[in-house]
Amino acid sequence: MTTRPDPFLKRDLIKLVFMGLSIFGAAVLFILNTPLSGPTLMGLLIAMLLAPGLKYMERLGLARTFTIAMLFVFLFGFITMAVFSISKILGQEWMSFYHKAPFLFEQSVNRLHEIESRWKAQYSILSSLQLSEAFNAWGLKTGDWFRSNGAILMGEIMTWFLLVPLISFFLLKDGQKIQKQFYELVPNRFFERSFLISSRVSNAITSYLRAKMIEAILVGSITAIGLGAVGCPYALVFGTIAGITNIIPYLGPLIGAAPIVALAVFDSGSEHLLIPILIVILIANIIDFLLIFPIVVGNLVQMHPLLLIGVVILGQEYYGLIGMLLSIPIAAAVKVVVQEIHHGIYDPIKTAPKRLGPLI
Amino acid sequence: MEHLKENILFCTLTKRELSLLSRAVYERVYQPDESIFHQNERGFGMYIIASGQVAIRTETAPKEILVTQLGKGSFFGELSLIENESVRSASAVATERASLIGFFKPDLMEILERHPTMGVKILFQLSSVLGQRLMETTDRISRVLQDPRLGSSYDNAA
Repeated sequence: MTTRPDPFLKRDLIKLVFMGLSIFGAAVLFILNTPLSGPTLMGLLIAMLLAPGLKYMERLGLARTFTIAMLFVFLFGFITMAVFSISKILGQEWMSFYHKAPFLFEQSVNRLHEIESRWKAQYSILSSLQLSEAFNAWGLKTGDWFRSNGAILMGEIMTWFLLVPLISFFLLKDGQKIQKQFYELVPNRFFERSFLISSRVSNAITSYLRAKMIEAILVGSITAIGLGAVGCPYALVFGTIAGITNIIPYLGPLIGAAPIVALAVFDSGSEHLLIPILIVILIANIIDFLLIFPIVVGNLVQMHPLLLIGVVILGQEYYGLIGMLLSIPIAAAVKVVVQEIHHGIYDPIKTAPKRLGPLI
Repeated sequence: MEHLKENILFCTLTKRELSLLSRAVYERVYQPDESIFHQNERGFGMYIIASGQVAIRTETAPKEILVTQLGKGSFFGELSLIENESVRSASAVATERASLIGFFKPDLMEILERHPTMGVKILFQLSSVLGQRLMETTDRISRVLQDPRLGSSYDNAA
Protein backbone atom coordinates (compact mmCIF):
# COMPACT_ATOMS: atom_id res chain seq x y z
CA MET A 1 0.00 0.00 0.00
CA THR A 2 1.39 3.42 -0.92
CA THR A 3 0.84 6.52 1.18
CA ARG A 4 -0.06 9.76 -0.58
CA PRO A 5 2.60 12.51 -0.14
CA ASP A 6 1.43 15.40 2.02
CA PRO A 7 1.09 18.39 -0.38
CA PHE A 8 1.14 20.92 2.48
CA LEU A 9 4.19 19.56 4.31
CA LYS A 10 6.74 21.90 2.68
CA ARG A 11 4.60 25.02 3.28
CA ASP A 12 3.97 24.02 6.92
CA LEU A 13 7.68 23.31 7.52
CA ILE A 14 8.58 26.78 6.23
CA LYS A 15 5.93 28.29 8.51
CA LEU A 16 7.31 26.28 11.45
CA VAL A 17 10.83 27.60 10.75
CA PHE A 18 9.52 31.20 10.73
CA MET A 19 7.56 30.53 13.91
CA GLY A 20 10.65 29.10 15.63
CA LEU A 21 12.77 32.06 14.50
CA SER A 22 10.19 34.53 15.83
CA ILE A 23 10.03 32.80 19.22
CA PHE A 24 13.83 32.63 19.36
CA GLY A 25 14.18 36.31 18.35
CA ALA A 26 11.68 37.45 20.98
CA ALA A 27 13.37 35.28 23.60
CA VAL A 28 16.83 36.69 22.73
CA LEU A 29 15.56 40.27 22.86
CA PHE A 30 13.31 40.13 25.89
CA ILE A 31 13.95 37.04 28.01
CA LEU A 32 17.45 35.55 27.78
CA ASN A 33 19.36 37.65 30.31
CA THR A 34 19.41 40.90 28.35
CA PRO A 35 18.93 44.33 29.99
CA LEU A 36 15.29 44.04 28.88
CA SER A 37 14.64 40.63 30.45
CA GLY A 38 13.96 41.85 34.01
CA PRO A 39 11.62 44.72 33.08
CA THR A 40 9.87 42.50 30.49
CA LEU A 41 9.17 39.74 33.01
CA MET A 42 8.06 42.28 35.60
CA GLY A 43 5.87 44.04 33.01
CA LEU A 44 4.33 40.69 32.09
CA LEU A 45 3.70 39.95 35.75
CA ILE A 46 2.00 43.32 36.33
CA ALA A 47 -0.08 42.94 33.15
CA MET A 48 -1.28 39.53 34.38
CA LEU A 49 -2.13 40.92 37.79
CA LEU A 50 -4.00 43.92 36.37
CA ALA A 51 -6.02 41.86 33.88
CA PRO A 52 -8.89 41.00 36.30
CA GLY A 53 -9.33 44.69 37.25
CA LEU A 54 -9.37 45.58 33.57
CA LYS A 55 -12.03 42.93 32.87
CA TYR A 56 -14.16 44.30 35.71
CA MET A 57 -13.99 47.86 34.34
CA GLU A 58 -14.72 46.69 30.80
CA ARG A 59 -17.79 44.92 32.15
CA LEU A 60 -19.05 48.35 33.19
CA GLY A 61 -19.02 49.32 29.51
CA LEU A 62 -15.77 51.31 29.35
CA ALA A 63 -13.53 51.17 26.26
CA ARG A 64 -10.40 49.01 26.64
CA THR A 65 -7.64 51.59 25.96
CA PHE A 66 -9.39 54.19 28.10
CA THR A 67 -9.84 51.55 30.83
CA ILE A 68 -6.13 50.62 30.77
CA ALA A 69 -5.11 54.28 30.98
CA MET A 70 -7.60 54.77 33.84
CA LEU A 71 -6.27 51.69 35.58
CA PHE A 72 -2.70 53.01 35.44
CA VAL A 73 -3.78 56.47 36.68
CA PHE A 74 -5.83 54.86 39.45
CA LEU A 75 -2.98 52.55 40.41
CA PHE A 76 -0.44 55.38 40.35
CA GLY A 77 -2.78 57.53 42.47
CA PHE A 78 -3.41 54.69 44.89
CA ILE A 79 0.31 53.93 45.28
CA THR A 80 1.09 57.64 45.79
CA MET A 81 -1.69 57.94 48.38
CA ALA A 82 -0.61 54.75 50.12
CA VAL A 83 3.02 55.87 50.16
CA PHE A 84 2.03 59.27 51.57
CA SER A 85 -0.25 57.81 54.23
CA ILE A 86 2.13 55.15 55.51
CA SER A 87 5.39 56.79 54.52
CA LYS A 88 5.69 58.51 57.89
CA ILE A 89 5.58 55.28 59.89
CA LEU A 90 7.27 53.11 57.27
CA GLY A 91 9.85 55.83 56.51
CA GLN A 92 10.73 56.23 60.17
CA GLU A 93 11.08 52.47 60.51
CA TRP A 94 13.20 52.22 57.36
CA MET A 95 15.44 55.14 58.34
CA SER A 96 15.91 53.77 61.84
CA PHE A 97 16.62 50.32 60.39
CA TYR A 98 18.99 51.85 57.79
CA HIS A 99 21.01 53.73 60.45
CA LYS A 100 20.97 50.83 62.87
CA ALA A 101 21.89 48.19 60.27
CA PRO A 102 25.73 48.64 60.43
CA PHE A 103 25.59 48.62 64.24
CA LEU A 104 23.31 45.55 64.24
CA PHE A 105 25.68 43.86 61.80
CA GLU A 106 28.73 44.61 63.96
CA GLN A 107 26.87 43.43 67.05
CA SER A 108 25.80 40.26 65.24
CA VAL A 109 29.41 39.53 64.20
CA ASN A 110 30.58 39.99 67.81
CA ARG A 111 27.81 37.75 69.17
CA LEU A 112 28.53 35.13 66.55
CA HIS A 113 32.24 35.33 67.40
CA GLU A 114 31.44 34.77 71.11
CA ILE A 115 29.23 31.75 70.36
CA GLU A 116 31.83 30.38 67.93
CA SER A 117 34.69 30.75 70.48
CA ARG A 118 32.58 28.99 73.13
CA TRP A 119 31.83 26.09 70.74
CA LYS A 120 35.47 25.85 69.66
CA ALA A 121 36.58 25.63 73.31
CA GLN A 122 34.05 22.86 73.97
CA TYR A 123 34.42 20.90 70.73
CA SER A 124 37.93 20.69 69.24
CA ILE A 125 36.48 19.29 66.00
CA LEU A 126 35.13 22.80 65.24
CA SER A 127 38.56 24.50 65.56
CA SER A 128 38.87 25.07 61.81
CA LEU A 129 35.42 26.72 61.60
CA GLN A 130 35.63 30.39 60.49
CA LEU A 131 31.93 31.34 60.78
CA SER A 132 32.21 34.89 62.13
CA GLU A 133 35.06 35.75 59.70
CA ALA A 134 33.00 34.48 56.76
CA PHE A 135 29.93 36.43 57.94
CA ASN A 136 32.04 39.57 58.41
CA ALA A 137 33.64 39.19 54.97
CA TRP A 138 30.21 38.73 53.37
CA GLY A 139 28.89 41.85 55.12
CA LEU A 140 31.88 43.96 54.06
CA LYS A 141 31.69 42.67 50.50
CA THR A 142 27.94 43.44 50.30
CA GLY A 143 28.52 46.93 51.72
CA ASP A 144 31.33 47.56 49.20
CA TRP A 145 29.14 46.31 46.36
CA PHE A 146 26.37 48.76 47.29
CA ARG A 147 28.93 51.61 47.54
CA SER A 148 30.60 50.91 44.18
CA ASN A 149 27.42 49.95 42.28
CA GLY A 150 25.13 52.56 43.81
CA ALA A 151 25.03 54.75 40.68
CA ILE A 152 24.49 51.78 38.33
CA LEU A 153 21.82 50.45 40.67
CA MET A 154 20.01 53.81 40.64
CA GLY A 155 20.25 53.87 36.81
CA GLU A 156 18.76 50.38 36.63
CA ILE A 157 15.97 51.30 39.03
CA MET A 158 15.13 54.34 36.86
CA THR A 159 15.13 52.14 33.72
CA TRP A 160 12.77 49.72 35.45
CA PHE A 161 10.48 52.58 36.54
CA LEU A 162 10.22 53.73 32.94
CA LEU A 163 10.10 50.39 31.15
CA VAL A 164 7.92 48.25 33.42
CA PRO A 165 4.75 50.42 33.22
CA LEU A 166 5.34 50.94 29.48
CA ILE A 167 5.68 47.18 28.80
CA SER A 168 2.68 46.26 30.95
CA PHE A 169 0.58 49.01 29.28
CA PHE A 170 1.32 47.71 25.78
CA LEU A 171 0.91 44.08 26.80
CA LEU A 172 -2.55 44.87 28.15
CA LYS A 173 -3.50 47.08 25.20
CA ASP A 174 -2.07 45.02 22.33
CA GLY A 175 -1.76 41.54 23.88
CA GLN A 176 -4.63 40.17 21.79
CA LYS A 177 -3.17 41.71 18.60
CA ILE A 178 0.30 40.25 19.29
CA GLN A 179 -1.29 36.85 19.94
CA LYS A 180 -3.22 37.04 16.65
CA GLN A 181 -0.08 37.94 14.69
CA PHE A 182 1.76 35.03 16.26
CA TYR A 183 -1.01 32.59 15.29
CA GLU A 184 -0.70 33.69 11.65
CA LEU A 185 2.68 31.94 11.70
CA VAL A 186 1.23 28.70 13.06
CA PRO A 187 0.51 26.09 10.34
CA ASN A 188 -3.16 25.16 9.96
CA ARG A 189 -2.57 21.58 11.13
CA PHE A 190 -1.23 22.77 14.51
CA PHE A 191 -3.47 25.81 14.92
CA GLU A 192 -6.26 24.42 17.12
CA ARG A 193 -3.91 22.42 19.34
CA SER A 194 -1.46 25.31 19.83
CA PHE A 195 -4.36 27.65 20.56
CA LEU A 196 -5.71 25.24 23.18
CA ILE A 197 -2.29 24.76 24.78
CA SER A 198 -1.49 28.48 24.89
CA SER A 199 -4.84 29.39 26.46
CA ARG A 200 -4.42 26.66 29.11
CA VAL A 201 -0.83 27.75 29.78
CA SER A 202 -1.90 31.37 30.10
CA ASN A 203 -4.72 30.36 32.49
CA ALA A 204 -2.35 28.24 34.61
CA ILE A 205 0.23 31.06 34.96
CA THR A 206 -2.28 33.85 35.64
CA SER A 207 -4.33 31.90 38.20
CA TYR A 208 -1.18 30.84 40.05
CA LEU A 209 0.33 34.35 40.18
CA ARG A 210 -2.93 35.94 41.32
CA ALA A 211 -3.38 33.32 44.02
CA LYS A 212 0.21 33.81 45.26
CA MET A 213 -0.26 37.59 45.42
CA ILE A 214 -3.38 37.19 47.58
CA GLU A 215 -1.50 34.70 49.76
CA ALA A 216 1.43 37.13 50.13
CA ILE A 217 -0.84 40.01 51.19
CA LEU A 218 -2.61 37.83 53.77
CA VAL A 219 0.60 36.32 55.21
CA GLY A 220 2.31 39.75 55.28
CA SER A 221 -0.64 41.32 57.10
CA ILE A 222 -0.90 38.48 59.66
CA THR A 223 2.86 38.65 60.34
CA ALA A 224 2.88 42.46 60.66
CA ILE A 225 -0.14 42.46 63.00
CA GLY A 226 1.33 39.61 65.08
CA LEU A 227 4.78 41.21 65.34
CA GLY A 228 3.20 44.56 66.24
CA ALA A 229 1.11 42.86 68.95
CA VAL A 230 4.16 41.27 70.61
CA GLY A 231 6.01 44.60 70.52
CA CYS A 232 8.58 43.71 67.88
CA PRO A 233 10.29 46.77 66.34
CA TYR A 234 10.00 47.28 62.55
CA ALA A 235 6.79 45.17 62.51
CA LEU A 236 5.61 46.77 59.23
CA VAL A 237 8.98 46.32 57.54
CA PHE A 238 9.29 42.69 58.64
CA GLY A 239 5.62 42.01 57.76
CA THR A 240 6.23 43.42 54.26
CA ILE A 241 9.41 41.32 53.88
CA ALA A 242 7.57 38.18 55.10
CA GLY A 243 4.72 38.84 52.64
CA ILE A 244 7.01 39.44 49.66
CA THR A 245 9.29 36.48 50.38
CA ASN A 246 6.26 34.25 50.91
CA ILE A 247 5.66 34.48 47.15
CA ILE A 248 8.79 32.33 46.72
CA PRO A 249 7.65 28.75 47.19
CA TYR A 250 9.09 26.67 50.05
CA LEU A 251 12.16 28.84 50.70
CA GLY A 252 10.20 32.10 51.01
CA PRO A 253 8.92 31.69 54.61
CA LEU A 254 12.48 30.81 55.76
CA ILE A 255 14.02 33.81 53.96
CA GLY A 256 11.31 36.08 55.39
CA ALA A 257 11.75 34.78 58.94
CA ALA A 258 15.57 35.07 58.91
CA PRO A 259 15.90 38.85 59.50
CA ILE A 260 13.21 38.82 62.22
CA VAL A 261 14.87 35.95 64.09
CA ALA A 262 18.31 37.54 63.55
CA LEU A 263 17.05 40.75 65.16
CA ALA A 264 15.81 38.86 68.24
CA VAL A 265 19.00 36.79 68.53
CA PHE A 266 21.61 39.46 67.90
CA ASP A 267 19.98 42.68 69.15
CA SER A 268 20.76 42.84 72.86
CA GLY A 269 17.52 44.74 73.60
CA SER A 270 15.26 42.31 71.75
CA GLU A 271 16.35 38.95 73.24
CA HIS A 272 13.11 38.58 75.24
CA LEU A 273 11.16 38.78 71.96
CA LEU A 274 12.68 35.63 70.45
CA ILE A 275 9.97 33.21 71.67
CA PRO A 276 6.98 35.52 70.89
CA ILE A 277 8.48 36.26 67.43
CA LEU A 278 8.95 32.55 66.73
CA ILE A 279 5.35 31.91 67.83
CA VAL A 280 4.05 34.70 65.53
CA ILE A 281 6.02 33.32 62.54
CA LEU A 282 4.85 29.80 63.34
CA ILE A 283 1.19 30.87 63.64
CA ALA A 284 1.38 32.87 60.38
CA ASN A 285 2.87 29.88 58.57
CA ILE A 286 0.37 27.41 60.09
CA ILE A 287 -2.53 29.65 59.01
CA ASP A 288 -0.93 29.86 55.57
CA PHE A 289 -0.32 26.10 55.39
CA LEU A 290 -3.72 24.99 56.69
CA LEU A 291 -6.05 27.74 55.48
CA ILE A 292 -4.68 30.27 53.00
CA PHE A 293 -2.66 27.94 50.75
CA PRO A 294 -5.33 25.19 50.40
CA ILE A 295 -8.14 27.71 49.79
CA VAL A 296 -6.36 30.33 47.69
CA VAL A 297 -3.63 28.46 45.83
CA GLY A 298 -5.24 25.02 46.23
CA ASN A 299 -4.45 22.40 43.70
CA LEU A 300 -3.34 24.80 40.99
CA VAL A 301 0.01 23.04 40.69
CA GLN A 302 0.05 19.30 41.21
CA MET A 303 3.75 18.50 41.11
CA HIS A 304 6.19 16.70 43.38
CA PRO A 305 7.69 19.05 46.07
CA LEU A 306 11.25 17.95 45.18
CA LEU A 307 10.70 18.91 41.55
CA LEU A 308 9.25 22.25 42.63
CA ILE A 309 12.27 23.00 44.84
CA GLY A 310 14.51 22.08 41.89
CA VAL A 311 12.77 24.50 39.51
CA VAL A 312 12.78 27.28 42.13
CA ILE A 313 16.58 26.91 42.52
CA LEU A 314 16.99 26.84 38.73
CA GLY A 315 14.86 30.01 38.43
CA GLN A 316 16.97 31.75 41.08
CA GLU A 317 20.16 30.75 39.27
CA TYR A 318 19.14 32.47 36.03
CA TYR A 319 16.74 35.30 36.93
CA GLY A 320 17.11 35.85 40.70
CA LEU A 321 13.98 36.77 42.62
CA ILE A 322 11.72 37.06 39.54
CA GLY A 323 13.05 33.69 38.37
CA MET A 324 12.14 32.14 41.72
CA LEU A 325 8.66 33.62 41.52
CA LEU A 326 8.01 32.63 37.92
CA SER A 327 9.68 29.20 38.09
CA ILE A 328 6.63 27.33 39.42
CA PRO A 329 4.01 28.80 37.06
CA ILE A 330 6.40 28.18 34.16
CA ALA A 331 6.87 24.57 35.35
CA ALA A 332 3.06 24.30 35.56
CA ALA A 333 2.86 25.62 32.01
CA VAL A 334 5.41 23.08 30.77
CA LYS A 335 3.35 20.39 32.52
CA VAL A 336 0.20 21.55 30.66
CA VAL A 337 2.10 21.37 27.33
CA VAL A 338 3.45 17.87 28.07
CA GLN A 339 -0.02 16.71 29.20
CA GLU A 340 -1.63 18.05 26.04
CA ILE A 341 0.95 16.39 23.78
CA HIS A 342 0.59 13.11 25.73
CA HIS A 343 -3.19 13.42 25.52
CA GLY A 344 -3.00 14.01 21.77
CA ILE A 345 -0.78 10.98 21.17
CA TYR A 346 -2.20 8.38 23.55
CA ASP A 347 -5.77 9.41 24.34
CA PRO A 348 -7.32 11.30 21.44
CA ILE A 349 -10.85 9.94 21.97
CA LYS A 350 -12.51 10.74 25.22
CA THR A 351 -14.93 8.25 26.75
CA ALA A 352 -18.56 8.82 25.86
CA PRO A 353 -20.34 11.33 28.08
CA LYS A 354 -23.09 10.25 30.45
CA ARG A 355 -26.34 9.65 28.55
CA LEU A 356 -29.07 12.14 29.40
CA GLY A 357 -31.87 10.49 27.42
CA PRO A 358 -33.80 11.84 24.42
CA LEU A 359 -34.97 15.43 24.07
CA ILE A 360 -38.75 15.71 24.38
CA MET B 1 -17.05 42.19 10.04
CA GLU B 2 -19.67 41.75 7.28
CA HIS B 3 -19.36 37.94 7.49
CA LEU B 4 -19.92 38.06 11.22
CA LYS B 5 -22.95 40.37 10.95
CA GLU B 6 -24.60 38.07 8.42
CA ASN B 7 -24.15 35.00 10.62
CA ILE B 8 -27.20 33.89 12.61
CA LEU B 9 -25.10 33.55 15.80
CA PHE B 10 -24.01 37.19 15.73
CA CYS B 11 -26.89 38.92 13.94
CA THR B 12 -28.27 40.33 17.20
CA LEU B 13 -25.01 42.06 18.16
CA THR B 14 -24.61 45.83 17.99
CA LYS B 15 -21.98 47.52 15.80
CA ARG B 16 -19.65 48.00 18.77
CA GLU B 17 -20.09 44.37 19.85
CA LEU B 18 -19.36 43.19 16.32
CA SER B 19 -16.20 45.28 16.32
CA LEU B 20 -15.13 43.65 19.62
CA LEU B 21 -15.95 40.22 18.20
CA SER B 22 -13.90 40.86 15.05
CA ARG B 23 -10.85 41.32 17.29
CA ALA B 24 -11.49 37.95 18.97
CA VAL B 25 -11.84 35.80 15.84
CA TYR B 26 -9.11 34.28 13.67
CA GLU B 27 -9.05 34.21 9.89
CA ARG B 28 -7.49 31.09 8.38
CA VAL B 29 -7.01 30.18 4.73
CA TYR B 30 -7.18 26.53 3.60
CA GLN B 31 -6.13 25.15 0.23
CA PRO B 32 -8.21 22.54 -1.69
CA ASP B 33 -8.05 19.11 0.05
CA GLU B 34 -6.50 20.62 3.16
CA SER B 35 -7.92 19.27 6.39
CA ILE B 36 -9.50 21.72 8.86
CA PHE B 37 -10.01 19.13 11.58
CA HIS B 38 -10.31 15.37 11.88
CA GLN B 39 -13.07 13.21 13.30
CA ASN B 40 -12.40 12.11 16.94
CA GLU B 41 -9.96 14.98 17.52
CA ARG B 42 -10.67 17.25 20.44
CA GLY B 43 -12.33 20.44 19.25
CA PHE B 44 -13.03 23.71 20.96
CA GLY B 45 -14.27 26.11 18.34
CA MET B 46 -16.42 26.79 15.33
CA TYR B 47 -15.68 28.06 11.82
CA ILE B 48 -17.66 30.39 9.58
CA ILE B 49 -17.04 30.07 5.84
CA ALA B 50 -16.15 33.52 4.47
CA SER B 51 -15.43 32.08 1.02
CA GLY B 52 -14.96 28.68 -0.62
CA GLN B 53 -16.43 25.23 0.05
CA VAL B 54 -15.98 22.77 2.91
CA ALA B 55 -16.96 19.09 2.99
CA ILE B 56 -18.08 17.48 6.24
CA ARG B 57 -17.32 13.74 6.26
CA THR B 58 -17.56 10.90 8.72
CA GLU B 59 -14.97 8.17 8.52
CA THR B 60 -16.56 4.87 9.47
CA ALA B 61 -14.51 1.95 8.14
CA PRO B 62 -14.58 0.73 5.43
CA LYS B 63 -16.18 3.76 3.79
CA GLU B 64 -16.18 7.52 4.10
CA ILE B 65 -19.57 9.25 4.14
CA LEU B 66 -20.06 12.79 2.91
CA VAL B 67 -22.46 14.29 5.44
CA THR B 68 -22.80 17.66 3.79
CA GLN B 69 -21.10 20.23 1.60
CA LEU B 70 -21.05 23.76 3.02
CA GLY B 71 -20.53 27.06 1.22
CA LYS B 72 -20.10 30.75 1.92
CA GLY B 73 -21.95 31.95 5.04
CA SER B 74 -22.37 28.45 6.52
CA PHE B 75 -20.77 27.47 9.78
CA PHE B 76 -19.74 24.24 11.51
CA GLY B 77 -18.23 22.93 14.76
CA GLU B 78 -20.40 25.14 16.96
CA LEU B 79 -21.19 22.27 19.37
CA SER B 80 -17.64 22.37 20.69
CA LEU B 81 -18.18 25.95 21.88
CA ILE B 82 -20.44 24.75 24.66
CA GLU B 83 -19.55 21.07 25.09
CA ASN B 84 -17.01 20.21 27.77
CA GLU B 85 -13.98 18.28 26.38
CA SER B 86 -15.68 18.12 23.02
CA VAL B 87 -14.65 15.54 20.40
CA ARG B 88 -15.24 16.25 16.71
CA SER B 89 -17.98 13.97 15.39
CA ALA B 90 -16.90 14.44 11.75
CA SER B 91 -13.97 15.63 9.66
CA ALA B 92 -13.93 18.93 7.80
CA VAL B 93 -11.94 19.33 4.58
CA ALA B 94 -11.72 22.31 2.23
CA THR B 95 -12.86 21.25 -1.24
CA GLU B 96 -11.75 24.52 -2.80
CA ARG B 97 -9.62 27.40 -1.52
CA ALA B 98 -11.53 28.48 1.57
CA SER B 99 -11.25 31.43 3.88
CA LEU B 100 -12.62 30.56 7.32
CA ILE B 101 -13.28 32.62 10.42
CA GLY B 102 -12.52 30.66 13.58
CA PHE B 103 -14.23 31.47 16.87
CA PHE B 104 -13.02 29.51 19.89
CA LYS B 105 -14.21 28.61 23.36
CA PRO B 106 -11.52 30.56 25.33
CA ASP B 107 -12.54 33.70 23.42
CA LEU B 108 -16.24 33.05 24.10
CA MET B 109 -15.41 32.67 27.81
CA GLU B 110 -13.40 35.90 27.66
CA ILE B 111 -16.37 37.70 26.05
CA LEU B 112 -18.70 36.33 28.74
CA GLU B 113 -16.35 37.69 31.41
CA ARG B 114 -15.68 41.07 29.84
CA HIS B 115 -18.99 41.76 28.08
CA PRO B 116 -21.68 39.52 29.64
CA THR B 117 -24.59 41.02 27.69
CA MET B 118 -22.81 40.34 24.40
CA GLY B 119 -21.89 36.82 25.57
CA VAL B 120 -25.49 36.04 26.51
CA LYS B 121 -26.70 37.22 23.07
CA ILE B 122 -24.24 34.83 21.38
CA LEU B 123 -25.16 31.92 23.69
CA PHE B 124 -28.87 32.51 23.13
CA GLN B 125 -28.46 32.42 19.35
CA LEU B 126 -26.20 29.37 19.69
CA SER B 127 -28.86 27.54 21.73
CA SER B 128 -31.49 28.36 19.08
CA VAL B 129 -29.24 26.99 16.31
CA LEU B 130 -28.46 23.80 18.25
CA GLY B 131 -32.17 23.31 19.06
CA GLN B 132 -33.11 23.78 15.42
CA ARG B 133 -30.42 21.36 14.22
CA LEU B 134 -31.55 18.82 16.82
CA MET B 135 -35.13 19.06 15.61
CA GLU B 136 -33.98 18.57 12.01
CA THR B 137 -31.95 15.48 13.03
CA THR B 138 -34.87 14.05 15.02
CA ASP B 139 -37.13 14.58 12.03
CA ARG B 140 -34.62 12.86 9.70
CA ILE B 141 -34.23 9.87 12.09
CA SER B 142 -38.02 9.54 12.35
CA ARG B 143 -38.35 9.45 8.58
CA VAL B 144 -35.53 6.87 8.28
CA LEU B 145 -37.15 4.69 10.96
CA GLN B 146 -40.49 4.85 9.14
CA ASP B 147 -38.90 4.02 5.77
CA PRO B 148 -35.44 2.35 6.10
CA ARG B 149 -34.90 2.74 2.32
CA LEU B 150 -34.42 6.49 2.94
CA GLY B 151 -31.38 5.66 5.12
CA SER B 152 -29.70 3.54 2.43
CA SER B 153 -30.50 6.09 -0.29
CA TYR B 154 -28.96 8.76 1.92
CA ASP B 155 -25.78 6.64 2.20
CA ASN B 156 -25.69 6.03 -1.54
CA ALA B 157 -26.17 9.68 -2.30
CA ALA B 158 -23.09 10.48 -0.22
